Amino acid sequence: MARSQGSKPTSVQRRQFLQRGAMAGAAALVGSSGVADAKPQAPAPPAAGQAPGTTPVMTAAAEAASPGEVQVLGALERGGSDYMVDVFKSLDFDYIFANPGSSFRGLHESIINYGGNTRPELITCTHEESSVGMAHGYFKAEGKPLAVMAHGTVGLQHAAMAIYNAWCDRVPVYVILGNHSDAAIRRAAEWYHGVQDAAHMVRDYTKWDDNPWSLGHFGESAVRAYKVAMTPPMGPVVMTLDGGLQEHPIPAGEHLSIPRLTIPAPPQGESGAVEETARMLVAAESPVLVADRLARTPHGMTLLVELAEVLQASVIDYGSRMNFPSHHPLNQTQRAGPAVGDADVIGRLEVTDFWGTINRLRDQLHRSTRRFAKPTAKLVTITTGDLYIRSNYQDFRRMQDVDLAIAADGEATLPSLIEAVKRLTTGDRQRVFDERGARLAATSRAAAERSRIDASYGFDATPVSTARLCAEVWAQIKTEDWALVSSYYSPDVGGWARKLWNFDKPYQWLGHAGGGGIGYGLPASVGAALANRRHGRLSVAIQTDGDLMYAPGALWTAAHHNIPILSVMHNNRAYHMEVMHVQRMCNARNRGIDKGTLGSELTDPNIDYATLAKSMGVYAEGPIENPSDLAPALRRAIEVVKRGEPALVDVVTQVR
Amino acid sequence: MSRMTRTARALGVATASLAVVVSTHATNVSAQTPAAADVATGQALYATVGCAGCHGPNGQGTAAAPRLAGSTDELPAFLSYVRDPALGMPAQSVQAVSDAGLADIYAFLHSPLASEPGQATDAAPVGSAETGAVLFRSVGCYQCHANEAQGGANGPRIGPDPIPFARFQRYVQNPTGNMPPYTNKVVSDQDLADIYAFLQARTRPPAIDTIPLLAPLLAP
Repeated sequence: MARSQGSKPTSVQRRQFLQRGAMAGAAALVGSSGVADAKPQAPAPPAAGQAPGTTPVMTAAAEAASPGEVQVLGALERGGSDYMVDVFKSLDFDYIFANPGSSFRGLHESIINYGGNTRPELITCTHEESSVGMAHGYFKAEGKPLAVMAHGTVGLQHAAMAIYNAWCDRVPVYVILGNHSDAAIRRAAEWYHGVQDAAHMVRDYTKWDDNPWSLGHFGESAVRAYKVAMTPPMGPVVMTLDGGLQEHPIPAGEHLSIPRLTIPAPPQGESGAVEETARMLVAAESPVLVADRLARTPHGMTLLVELAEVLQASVIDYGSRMNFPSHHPLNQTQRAGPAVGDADVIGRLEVTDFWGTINRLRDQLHRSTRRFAKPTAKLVTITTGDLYIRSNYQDFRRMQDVDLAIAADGEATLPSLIEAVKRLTTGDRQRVFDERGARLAATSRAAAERSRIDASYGFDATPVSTARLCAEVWAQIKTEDWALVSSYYSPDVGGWARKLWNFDKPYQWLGHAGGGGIGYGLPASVGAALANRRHGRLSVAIQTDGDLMYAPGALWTAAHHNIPILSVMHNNRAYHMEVMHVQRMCNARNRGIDKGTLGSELTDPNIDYATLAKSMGVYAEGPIENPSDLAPALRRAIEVVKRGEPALVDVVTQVR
Repeated sequence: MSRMTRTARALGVATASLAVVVSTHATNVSAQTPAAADVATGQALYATVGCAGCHGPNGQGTAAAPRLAGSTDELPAFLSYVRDPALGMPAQSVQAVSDAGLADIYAFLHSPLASEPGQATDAAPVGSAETGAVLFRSVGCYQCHANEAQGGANGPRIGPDPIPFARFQRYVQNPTGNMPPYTNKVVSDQDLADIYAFLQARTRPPAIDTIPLLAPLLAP
């Protein structure tokens, strides 16, 4: 049990209590001084009539026996975890997600009683992976990190994949682990839940962690962890909280303060390098701006629009954040290949995979690559990815030679870059910009027109085409204040939502999972919907079947906590990306692919997602196979969502 | 849906399977040609830009590339495809040929100077669309090209109006992009003929402006 430095014995109030044996298994009893007795005492013998190892029962003999001593806090005393709640309140956590666990029972109790279960409010989760996924989605919708509580061992093991997603996505999640460090007083289960260094297993993909040994230490580290998590490049952090530190009373007379939180200003690009970047962009004939995790705040999209319009430059939005309006005339995302191929200057704004922006990998038996950008194209990067990197996990992607690299936050650097571009733009260049803008607007219109035509093929087919699915959902939400909160590659549904919907607000698209770990979509969408609830937005998720089956309990969390969200199933009854990969191997080995779906399909039996959702208190319809049945089902479901509840519509779809 | 996506970003950009051009819509495309378009200029550009090298001197198509003469593509779709083609065809930048130049080429391809529409450059063997439908699924074409061959993010539309059979066959067996190769051992020539018949039998959608759900998002 960790203790506060310089702690004095506490004046706990002693009470007689007719109970004994409840702490069976404790090897040593803690005396009134709070110091472990040097002589281990034998466990109390079973009460008369009680078989060894059974639950004590209230008997006359038991009542007659000498009562044990227990300790409860006096009226003016507080547990260590009460102070922890004070600190967490100072950090302004709106919610805290947890699947309950005994190693953080002290903190759990403080949150719901001492803290009044408000800010943070405890959100009950059915899996730690869901807890972290919800916090991930919440941050992307609200811009505020949330806390997650988990066992330091089994809970963290469940949570690990979701933490990795957050790490790859540069999203701050505040992970709190419970752990009983002092082996001398562990209960039996606490041995399985005890660990020397809890954060070790996720240290490769978290930004910072600590294991405080006193409440004063906790206060500093808790605030520091928040500050570290929120400083770009952002990332998840871990606080390991000893069970004793949570449960033991705050030493009498100890004055605990809460450090003041000051989030550092994000690093801005060096002025000379920014000036040189502006010079290159202004002189370029075909500049292209590529953005991925650029829009750190809602203002990021506004800034990128301004830079693009000042230059009349092409923008390619990789979509890990809502960087650029989907149907802005300068948005060339639908024709990214030729835009990059034409470019003479390519600006990379918080793009992890710059190599993949200008090169292609051919995935055949012998993999080959080729660069499709011009060899003379100048490459400039502005990214915090150059500030912080880890080696073990390879999410940093392939090395790309560049002409100018600015290690700085993209969004923070845009204002000075815009200013420099404006200053360097002459009348002659402005005429070039205007002509370029007109050309780009025409190609953008042509791409939009082609998308409409492409969507019309197979429009009435059964199972429902993904284009039809997106068109039907759009028809029902386009007059609402909506946000698409599902965010994995596949829920992008072949890119149809971004082709057919008009994304023009920063909160309407939240990006992808980050690390490609499936099981993110459902909890992240519920977490984002929780954030959207206070704004009155209609949260819409296009929910894939394989993803939902990882931890469907997040549906129950949505029902239990009245989180309104419309989940429309993209139910293609398989892990189809994997079917494709196995098919590729079958073909490469020339063995035929008649068995290629083995191991990847979710059929025989088909999963009834509507019934699954209903069993957890969620309004649901489906499975729907006829596209003409979609509109009325969606309308009914949206009415439910508008009442403040979750709803699910199961749609059997084509592959992608 | 998918479990691991290490290459998803690369595939999302680069994965195109059959590098084909298909007719995009059944409309009176010649009405889309700008009045200012010049057929003679288009004919000259068609040669100098390099279209003829693969598509034949009069747009009649070759074993290397599909027929363009009399294409049912609307001009915007034609422009868009030339700027951003599927793998196999090089993209033409605005520096190489302007939009006005492409409009001229388009006018040429829909003029009497181009090859007469409807003339196939090679004949497809007889196939069964019904058998092809089964094969289309069992050999996995639908994985990237979708159930009705309408295409998607991982593969282009390949029906209706597929590319000439010879080129189709060659691409399936020796794809230049990311599409897995299908040898004769796993998909016979007759299988390909049946699949081709299935592609030919796909129905065209109604005119785009008759589908309210696909109304333009923004005012023109």
